[in-house]
Amino acid sequence: MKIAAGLGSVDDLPLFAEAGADEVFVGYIPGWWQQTYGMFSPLNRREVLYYNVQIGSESEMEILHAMSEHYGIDVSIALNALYFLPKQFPDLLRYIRECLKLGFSSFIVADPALLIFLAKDPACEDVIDKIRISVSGETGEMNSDFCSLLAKLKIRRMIFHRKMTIGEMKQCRNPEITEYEAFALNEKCHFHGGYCNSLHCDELTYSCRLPYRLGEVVENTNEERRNVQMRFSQEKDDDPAYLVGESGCALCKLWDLEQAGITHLKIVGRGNYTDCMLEDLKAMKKALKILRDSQSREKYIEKMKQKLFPNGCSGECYYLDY
Amino acid sequence: MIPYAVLQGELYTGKREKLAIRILDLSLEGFTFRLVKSRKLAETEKLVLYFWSWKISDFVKLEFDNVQVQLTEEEDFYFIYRIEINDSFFERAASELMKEYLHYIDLKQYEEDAELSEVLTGYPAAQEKDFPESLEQWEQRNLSAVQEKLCRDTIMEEKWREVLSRTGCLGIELESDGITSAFREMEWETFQNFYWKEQRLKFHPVSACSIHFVYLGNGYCFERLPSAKLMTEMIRKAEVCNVVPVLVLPPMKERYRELFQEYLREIVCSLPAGEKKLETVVNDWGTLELVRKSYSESLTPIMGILMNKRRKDSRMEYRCGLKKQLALLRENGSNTEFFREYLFQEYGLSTFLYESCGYEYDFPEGEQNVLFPFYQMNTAGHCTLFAQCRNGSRGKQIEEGCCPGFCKQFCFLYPSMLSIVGWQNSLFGWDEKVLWDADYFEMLSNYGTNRMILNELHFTMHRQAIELRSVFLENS
Repeated sequence: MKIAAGLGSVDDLPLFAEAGADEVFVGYIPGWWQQTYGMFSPLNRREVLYYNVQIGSESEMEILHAMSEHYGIDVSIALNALYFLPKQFPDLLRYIRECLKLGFSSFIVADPALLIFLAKDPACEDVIDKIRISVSGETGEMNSDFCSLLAKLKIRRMIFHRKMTIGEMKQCRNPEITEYEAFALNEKCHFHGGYCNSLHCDELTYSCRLPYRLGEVVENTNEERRNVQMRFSQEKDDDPAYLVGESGCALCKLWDLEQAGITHLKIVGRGNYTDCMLEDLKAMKKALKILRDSQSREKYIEKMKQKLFPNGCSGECYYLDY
Repeated sequence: MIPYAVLQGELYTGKREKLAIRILDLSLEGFTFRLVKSRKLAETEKLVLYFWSWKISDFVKLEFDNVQVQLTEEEDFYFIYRIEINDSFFERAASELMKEYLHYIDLKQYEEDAELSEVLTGYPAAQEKDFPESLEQWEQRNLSAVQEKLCRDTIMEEKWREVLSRTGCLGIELESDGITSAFREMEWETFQNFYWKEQRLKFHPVSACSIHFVYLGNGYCFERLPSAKLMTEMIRKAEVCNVVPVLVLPPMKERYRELFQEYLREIVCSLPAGEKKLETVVNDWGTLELVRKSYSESLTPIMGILMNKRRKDSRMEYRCGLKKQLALLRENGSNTEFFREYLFQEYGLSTFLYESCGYEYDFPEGEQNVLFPFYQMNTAGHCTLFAQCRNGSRGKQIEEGCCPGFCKQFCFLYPSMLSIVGWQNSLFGWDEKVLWDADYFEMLSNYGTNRMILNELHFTMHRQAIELRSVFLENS
């Protein structure tokens, strides 16, 4: 299995390459797109201005390409906004052509309309055979019927959303699709990205981080029935030491993921500090080495935990067993 | 490095080429940028800089002719260049940008999210401490606010009657056990009286409308779907009552695939042959494929909320730059012609489900469906309520096998001023405006073209509702 990591800055690529990344995925919003559509209708799911999560300009992308060629790292561009406006499709084609000219041909797409546009519109004939499309987990619910449909749309890779079980991933595999990616580290989101229609901007917190309480449908004064645990959503962690997988981890499941046919493991970036990403990459690389040398699932888990988590892991498991 | 989204540069060279550059370091006298080594920099004729201004939510554009570009450093993959600018506009723009950017960094480092929002947008952070006591209380307060607005504005009340006389097609969502069993057991007229009283909407002009459609099922959670037998009964009951039943399905998870297929098979088999097709709200592409392959003769798909995506958030009024960008919210994927043609040709789908979500938008041609007053903001893949009640934390999510129906008793409550509730596996916003502003309601109905569907409010889970139902049954 290969490691795909989220990259927020060109300067991090050499470090990621040394730490073990096989592939990176990036956001790229050219100036002309932002000047036209602002951040109300971005190209990907990073709708912020004040974070360094997008690669930046055309000149930065040229540098990124040079680096990726040198280090042998594939780069995918996240084009995974949940939907696009009717008037944006010609601009999307322009965008893809510009990316091809810059040397980038892999795209992560979440909007089914865009998939159909690329596969079927005559205007896209000159690009469709030159690009490699990964379908983002943000597309929506994934099942084998959907995967059969996608197989007809010249998809290279399925990226399963983070709420699928490993068993479901295995059942969804289709012979026409050669690559499968699963979330493996970071940003375990409480909600399904494909159904998140709320704001992701600088000035307002994400809806999943709003304060909430477990309450009752009807106020109940019977104390005996009020025996549920009430927790506030924002539990601050004061421990400054970084623990790999503290916001989502699938390292115990690498054996199962490999058996299920997963070819790529996703390490989410989402504005994570570079140092933390490097630790994640190194840990993942070590885990994969242990996996290769292990004879059984149990042996793998035992050895991996010994080496990577001698003091205990985060317990924030991506794929909890029922 | 300053994010590219807030400071962008364009170099225009003698060859009429335009190159977008990223500013590395910015000072009041100039800036640096870098170019890949393979790019030979021709003579620069013009420089354009775009400085993002938080105050105006737009770029400030500055142009400079004949700038001098100086090579300063060489790295492995690129050269670094410097441009000196001696210009008061540049100085002011750079200073403003740095001030705003550093201010944001400070807020992010030292303030809580709500306080940051308050400084930047006027978001009422202090009100985040005010939670309702229960979902019932929250909904009652919301309805009381609507009732008060309508009572104070007699012109609006009259306007409602005019609008409703034009917009005729009303549907209702029937989802909870209490209300669906009442629907199955009561005579239609009795049920309608029961429904409006139980929904606490007797005060509202909409309660005088005839109900033409009933939406049966659940668009979010498979566990909450009634059994195929019950669903079939309700479909038959609707037909007897001369109302149109619409089946509502949640997304089909792979592990439920066989159950889903069996469910649909049972329902379709019970439909009388040769009758009108059953409209079915689908919320994932797999179900759409299934309907196309196996049930296209019996079911007409409607694209559900989880497929018909659009930006929705109860805090939209605090979004900076909203007024300038409101036009971008008017459309979504359903307005894209080639996409609609594809959906119609492949699936026979021409109808989309929308929601009233606080702002106006454009509808494609034809009768569309609009839910009100709730709108979906977010939905979890595994149920967040199940995780909280079972494991003590919303994040400790597992498959919801053997779910006891925690959502019948519990929900997630949010600060009252947010107009949000977390129920089942989703976050819903409440669009109050659709219940008191008749013009807005009429716009959403597309001036009588669309079908307006009232969400089920949650009072059915109140003990009094169960008692009320018993009273109605005794008296009917």
